Amino acid sequence: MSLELIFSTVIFLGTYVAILTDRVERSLAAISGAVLMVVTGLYFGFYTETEVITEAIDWNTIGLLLGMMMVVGVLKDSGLFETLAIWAAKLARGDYFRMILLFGFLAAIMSTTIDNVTTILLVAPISMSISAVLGIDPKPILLTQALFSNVGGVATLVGDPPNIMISSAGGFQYLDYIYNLAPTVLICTLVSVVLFKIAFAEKAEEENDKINEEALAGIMDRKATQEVANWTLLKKGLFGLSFIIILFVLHSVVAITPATVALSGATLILLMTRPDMDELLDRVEWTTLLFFAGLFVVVHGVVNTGLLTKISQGVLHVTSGNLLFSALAILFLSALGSGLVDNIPFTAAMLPIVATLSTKLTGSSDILWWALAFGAGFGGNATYIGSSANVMIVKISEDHEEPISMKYWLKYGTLTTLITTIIAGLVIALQIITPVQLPLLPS
Amino acid sequence: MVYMNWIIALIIFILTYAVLFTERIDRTIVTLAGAVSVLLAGIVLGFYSQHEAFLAIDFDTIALVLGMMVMVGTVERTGLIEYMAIYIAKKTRGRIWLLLVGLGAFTAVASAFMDNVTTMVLVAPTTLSITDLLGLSPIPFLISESMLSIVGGLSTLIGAPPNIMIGSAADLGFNQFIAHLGPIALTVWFVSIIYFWFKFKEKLPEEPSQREALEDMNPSRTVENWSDFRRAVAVIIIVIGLYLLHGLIGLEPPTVAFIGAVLALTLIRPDVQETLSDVEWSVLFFYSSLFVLVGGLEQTGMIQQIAFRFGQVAENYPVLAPVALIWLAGVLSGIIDNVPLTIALIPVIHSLGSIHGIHLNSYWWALALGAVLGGISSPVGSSANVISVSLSERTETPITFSEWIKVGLPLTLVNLTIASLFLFFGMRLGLM
Repeated sequence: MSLELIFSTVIFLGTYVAILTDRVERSLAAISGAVLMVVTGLYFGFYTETEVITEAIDWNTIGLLLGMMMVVGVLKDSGLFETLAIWAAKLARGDYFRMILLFGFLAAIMSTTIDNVTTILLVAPISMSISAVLGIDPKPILLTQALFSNVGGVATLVGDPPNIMISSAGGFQYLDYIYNLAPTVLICTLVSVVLFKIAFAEKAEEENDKINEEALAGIMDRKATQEVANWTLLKKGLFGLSFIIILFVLHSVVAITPATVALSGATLILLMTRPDMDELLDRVEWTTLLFFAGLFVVVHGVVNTGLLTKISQGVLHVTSGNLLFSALAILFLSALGSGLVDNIPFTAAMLPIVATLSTKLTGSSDILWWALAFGAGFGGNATYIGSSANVMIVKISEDHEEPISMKYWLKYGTLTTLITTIIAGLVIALQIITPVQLPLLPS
Repeated sequence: MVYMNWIIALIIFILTYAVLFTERIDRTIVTLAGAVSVLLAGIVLGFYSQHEAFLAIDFDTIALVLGMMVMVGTVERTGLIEYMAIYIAKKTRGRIWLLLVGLGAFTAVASAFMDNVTTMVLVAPTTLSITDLLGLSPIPFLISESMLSIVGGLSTLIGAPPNIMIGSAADLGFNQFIAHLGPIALTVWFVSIIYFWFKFKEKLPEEPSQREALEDMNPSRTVENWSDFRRAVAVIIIVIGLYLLHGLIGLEPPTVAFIGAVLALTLIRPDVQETLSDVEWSVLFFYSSLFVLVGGLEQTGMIQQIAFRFGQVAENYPVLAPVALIWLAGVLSGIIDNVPLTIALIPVIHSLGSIHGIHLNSYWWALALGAVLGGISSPVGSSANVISVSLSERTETPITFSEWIKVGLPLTLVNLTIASLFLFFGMRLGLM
C-alpha cells in the first residue's frame, strides 16, 4: 500500500469517526477533514486546489439544497405546513402508527419522481408541526420518512442520483427501471411496514396515550384551512412549487439538472413574494451545506487515491466468473459502501467496474447494474450520513428537544438496509437461478 | 445563431442592471433572477451549462470575503474598534480640527483592513455620540468618515470589494496593491482632508461649547472582556503580518482570510452558529449571482468580441486608454454599486490580455482606482455612504442627497484627476 493511500484512508476514517460519534459539530468535523485531506493531497500530489471546486464538490447537490431551502423558507410563513399537518392528523384520525405510515408512504411516493432531499424538505416540516400540535415524539415519523424516501427513490430512473448515473452508463430507459426495480421496491416497502409495525408497536401505544383527547377532538373539528396565515403568499408559493415539481418530473426530457430547477423555482417565488433576503438567507442551513461540501472534498480524496476502486476490485476478483456471486457481491458491497460514503461518489467509483464485469460475464448481465442500483439506494439507509435525505432529517429533528441520534438511527436504519438488501438479493438470485422468468420481472 | 445568443444574454444583462439601478427590488433577488435567466437561456440555446455556471463563480473572492466577515465579526464584538475611536477622540482634547483629522485617519486605516461597511457601522455611531457630547453638527464628520473609509479601502487588496475581485482575477498580491495604490490613496487622503477643511470651515465652530464633556468618556467602557480584547489585537496583528508576507510564504489571500477566521474563532471562542448566522450571506449570494450572470455573457463570446474591438483602439493609445478607464469606471460606480461594475469589466480586461502590446496591469489598477474612488460622489455610490446617511436620519439634521453631492462630486473629480495623473506618469516611468 502506498503512503498516499494510507494517509487518505486515515483522514477519511478519522473524519467519519468524528462525525458518527457526534462529539464534534458535524460541519466542523467535515470541514476540518476536508482541509486535512486537501493539504495532504497537495503534499503527495493527489489533490489540487482547483479540483476542490471543479470536481470534488457536487454543485448539483449544493445548488438543489440551497434552492429548496429558500423555497421552504418562504413557504414557512404561509402556514402551508401547519395546514397540511392538521389535514394529515385528521386523515390519520390521531393514531400514531397511521401517521408514521402516512408520512412514510407520502415520502416514498414523492421520492420516485422528486429528489429525496426535496421530498424531505417538504414533508418533514409538516410532521414537525403535527407532533408539536399533538405533543408527540416526532423521531419515528421523521426517521420513517427518510428511510422510505430512500427506498422509494430506487424505483425509477429519476428517483435517485445513482439511478441517473447508471442509466447513462448502462444505457437504460425509464421503463427498464419500472420493470426491473419497481416491483422489488414495492415488496421492500411493504415488508418495511410490517417491520416498523413490530418495532414501533410499544412506542405507538405510548404516544397514543400521550395524545390529549381534547386536543385531538379540537383538531378533528378544526378546518385545516384555518391554519393558513397568508393566502397570497400560499398561492404564489404553491405556484412556484408546482413549477419546480413539473420540471423535476420532466427533467430527463428537458435536460435541466435538479439544481437549476430548484434555483429557478426559488427565483420565481422570490420575485413574486419579495421577502427580506437577509432574513430568508438566515433560514438556509449554511452549516448543512458546509457539511456536504466538506464531505464531498473528503470523499474525493479517497476516490483519487483509488481506495474505493481497490476495495471493489478486490472483492469482485474473488467472485468474478460467476454471475450470481458477482451480482450479490456488487449488491452487498455497494450497500455497505453507500451506507458509509454518500452514494453519488460511491456509484461513480463502481460504474467502471460493473461495466467491465457485465461485458465479461455471459447471461443476462444487465442484472449487475440493477444490483448496483439496489445496493446504492438501500445502503443509504444504514447510517445517517448515507444519504443527503438522512442528513437533512437529522438536522430538522434538531429543532425538537430530543433530536435523532446516531445510535437511534443505527437501530432502525441498519435493520432496514439489511432487510431490504436481503430481499433484493433474493430477487436477484431467483432471477439468475430460475430458468423461467418471473412474470413480474422481465429482464 | 451566435448573434441570437448575444442578443438574449445582453438583454438579460441590461435588464438586470437596469432593475438593479432602480433599487425597486432587493438586489440579491434581482441578480439571482438575472443569473437563473441567463443559465436557463444558456441551457436552451446551448451556450451555458449548470456546471459552467457554478465554475463561473470566483470562489477565491467569495472565500476571502467570507473569511474576513467571520474574522471581523468576531473581532468587532470585543469592542476594539469603538475603543480606539474614543481613545483617539480623547487625545484630540476636543480640538475640532484635530478630531476630524484623527477620526478620518482612523477610519481610513481601519477600512484598509476591514470592509468599509463594517468600519462605518462601528465608527459612525461612536462618532455620533462624540459629536453629541461636544454639541457639534455630526454631518461633516459622517460625510468625511465615509469618504475617507473609501479612500482607505483603496490602498489594500482586502480593503474594498473591487480590489478583492481584481486581485483574484489578475493574480495580484497584497503588497502589489499597497505599492501601487497605497501612495495614491495617501495623496488622495491628504487632498481630501484639505478639501474638507475648506468645505466645512464655516459649519464647525472654532471651539466646542462643551469641551470638558469629552473628559467623561471612557474608552474602556466599550470593552467587556479584556482577555478577548487582547486576543483580538493579536489576531489582527497576525493576519496583517500574514497578508504582508503571503507572497513569500506562498499562501493565497483567501487562505490567509480563513486562517484569520479560524484564529479568531478558536482564540476568542464566540458561538460558532451565531457567528455564522451573522455572516451577511445575502452579500455573498449577490456576488455569486453576478459572477454567474457575467459568466453567461462571457460564454456567448460577446465579451471577448467587445474586448477585441476595444483593444484595437486601445492599442494605439497605450497610456490614454487606461486613464479613460479610470473615468469610465469612476462615473459608473457613482451610479451603480461598484461590485456589479467590477464583475462586468473584469472579463473584458482579461480578454484584452490576448491583444499584443497591451500592458494589462495598468488596466487593473485603473479599474480599481475608478471603481473604488467613484463611490464617493453620491450617497448611493457605496454602502458606507448609505450607512452614514441612514444614521444621520436619526439625528435632527439628516444628510440630504444634494448636500452629499455638493461635497462628493467635486471631490470625486479631484480624486479621479489625481488618480489619472498618477497612472499617467506611473506608466510613463514604467511603474504602473
